[in-house]
Amino acid sequence: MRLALILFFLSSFHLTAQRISFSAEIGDSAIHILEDSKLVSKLILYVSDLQLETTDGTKLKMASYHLIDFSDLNSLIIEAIDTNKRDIKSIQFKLGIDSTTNVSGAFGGALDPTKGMYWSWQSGYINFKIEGRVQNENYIIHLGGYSSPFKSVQQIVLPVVHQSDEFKIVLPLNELFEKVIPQDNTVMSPSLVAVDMSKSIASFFYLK
Amino acid sequence: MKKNVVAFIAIIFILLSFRQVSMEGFEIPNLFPTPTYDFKNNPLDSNKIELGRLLFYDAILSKDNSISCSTCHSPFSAFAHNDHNLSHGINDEIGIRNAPALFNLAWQPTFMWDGAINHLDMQALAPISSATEMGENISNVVEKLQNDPFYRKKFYKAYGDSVDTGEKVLKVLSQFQLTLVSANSKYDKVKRGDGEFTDQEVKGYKLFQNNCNSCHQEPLFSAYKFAENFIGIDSILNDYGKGGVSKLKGDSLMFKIPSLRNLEYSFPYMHDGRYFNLNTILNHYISKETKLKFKKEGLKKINLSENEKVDLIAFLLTLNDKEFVFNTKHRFPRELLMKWKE
Repeated sequence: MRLALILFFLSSFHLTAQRISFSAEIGDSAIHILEDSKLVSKLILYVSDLQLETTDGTKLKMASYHLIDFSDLNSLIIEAIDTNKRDIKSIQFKLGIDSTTNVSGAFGGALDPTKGMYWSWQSGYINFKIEGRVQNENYIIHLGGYSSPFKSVQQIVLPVVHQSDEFKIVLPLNELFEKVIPQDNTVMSPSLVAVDMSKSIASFFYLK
Repeated sequence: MKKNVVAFIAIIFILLSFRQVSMEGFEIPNLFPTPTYDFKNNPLDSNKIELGRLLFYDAILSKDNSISCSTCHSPFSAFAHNDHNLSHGINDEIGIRNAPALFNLAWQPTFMWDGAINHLDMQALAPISSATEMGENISNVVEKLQNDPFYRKKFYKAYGDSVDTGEKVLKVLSQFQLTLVSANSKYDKVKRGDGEFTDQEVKGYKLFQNNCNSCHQEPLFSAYKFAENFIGIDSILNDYGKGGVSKLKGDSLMFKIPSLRNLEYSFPYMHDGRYFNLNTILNHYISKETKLKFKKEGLKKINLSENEKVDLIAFLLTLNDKEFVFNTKHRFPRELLMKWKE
């Protein structure tokens, strides 16, 4: 009875601030990459054009470009936004960097080329980077490519079922190990395989 | 007294007008089209141009302080690599291409012989990171500059902030390179009404317009598109040009069309630098084999008699821009470094 009351109280309480955090999980546990991490030694990705869609159809912009680096806990949280007591219908973002930004020269902040997410021998951002060792074999996957037919940026829409003041977006790595890396464990340039992998990875994200 | 005031005002005016010219640092030459480079995202500024010039000539960009941009892009060769067919970099590593001349970059939509780079700002990342050129990476470059009091001061002067970033390093390098405008050749002067072609040059100009202009369009003398030059593939280099990057069949053996300006200074020619003189190139284009290839591709074949070749070359040499090549503003910034040492 008391629990029901608390739940009732919570559901009627409209939250005004909203935070989003990212987590990469193996099984049920979130990974944090340290210097000696082997299975996953590097996992960095770009989230761009992050928006919250409210139930009244408004889109609240949260971040234009955000670099998520799983060795840096601070980068996993995207700052709070005031939702003005509105319910959230979905969370929308792009995995990677749009084509226009890719052809518009040098940028600073999250897009600065010193972040290691820009190819040097050929123009273009690396949208998603994962490296490590699985079953005694190294893998290195750098996904990018901004022009047809190798455009690899992906739009992701995650429907919100339960309102909360912090949404956790999860990338289940098991799926990656089962469905992506076996395809090819060395990808470092724009290609059809890279596009296909980007699509798969985009489909793995879910809300917890 | 009155005279002095007038003189004073006149001096102020003169100084102000000078300042304006140097602040802009860039002028679109009369007959040139609108530049491709978007200056709004990187407005030219004399302090930034100066910083870019310092970096262009500084081997601090390479891993072991051995190679600067100017190692392969020398001002006296119109910023090409004089006398080297293939350019060499760190530890005497030899690359697979002939370093292209640098000028009129604001009009070029892509960079590198294969067009792999889509923006002037991002161009410098390639040589900095290449194992056969500078063998460095942009993060280390930023760190080295940050630890250098001279450059911290220069960044402060340029940006009002001594902290440099990859973005700033790349943008100041663009700024200096954007000022490398070549538009004072004899051809330009004739077009402006400041000179006249000789009879031979007039003949050569006609031959140029009939045979070369479709790829090497006036007034930049390239449309900066891609084409096959039919020189065949070098079995050691195995360079497929644009196709090697785009992985598209239609791009195989396509290379960026170079400008014909400053040819006298920028030899050798072609992406692998295999030709050391213009006559050899013309012989290639009028050879039986090339004519057959042109026919197969539906291109208009080139016919030139011995005399016509001489006339055409006479015209091509009117595209040499001596003022550009010897412009002291583009040279090694000795005066800037001397000031620092004082």
